[in-house]
Amino acid sequence: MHRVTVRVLLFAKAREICGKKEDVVTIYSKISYFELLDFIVNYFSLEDIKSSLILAVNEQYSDADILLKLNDGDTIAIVPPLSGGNKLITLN
Amino acid sequence: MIEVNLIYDELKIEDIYQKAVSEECGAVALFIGTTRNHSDQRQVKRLIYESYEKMALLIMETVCKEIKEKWSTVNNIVIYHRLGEVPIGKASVVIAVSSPHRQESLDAVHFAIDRIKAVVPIFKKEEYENGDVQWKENKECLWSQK
Repeated sequence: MHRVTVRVLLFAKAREICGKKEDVVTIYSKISYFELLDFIVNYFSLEDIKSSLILAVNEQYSDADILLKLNDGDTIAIVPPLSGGNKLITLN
Repeated sequence: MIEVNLIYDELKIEDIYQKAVSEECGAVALFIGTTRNHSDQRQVKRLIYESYEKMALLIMETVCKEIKEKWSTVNNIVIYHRLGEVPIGKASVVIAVSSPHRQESLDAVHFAIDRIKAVVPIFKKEEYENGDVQWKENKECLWSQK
């Protein structure tokens, strides 16, 4: 299986838990959202907040039910819950 | 005209209003979100905002485009969010929308603040009087568990 090296960005509580705001990891280029989430959570020890994280790939929120096709140099962001508002609006 | 920005300094409300105002328009609707001194019955001492800035700006632009699609008569849209420490009682977000008549800009500003809070990657950390610290996880965020 083909492997790629991607940049990982961490914010807010995720950044504080793992003690860094950026890292580089090597992973399979074809990977499901949940496989990627499992890998990221395990690699950065984010088990405590796993249920409230969402991943963004190249500045776009990822769909949970798709197979990702990653390239070298892609950016994966670990996005904890946002800070405010009062209405549930669907994500495009 | 659309302008979105993230700045680490005091938000100048008059300047943002001046960017939005238009001679073709009879209304500028302005929303100002301000930092509160309490949260869940706890006294808040400090508030700090952090953001995934590149993505936040892209999504703020997307929200502006959504507004233009929903309200075709909306003229200018200006959205500024402050990052870093924001003292209690200061503006953390300012949204200004102009339109020929008031209804569209009022509706657009309401939509903009709800949408921004639900999807733009900006995180708020609260420090309380007793020394506790918490990243706010609000029910409004689409992937929050609360």
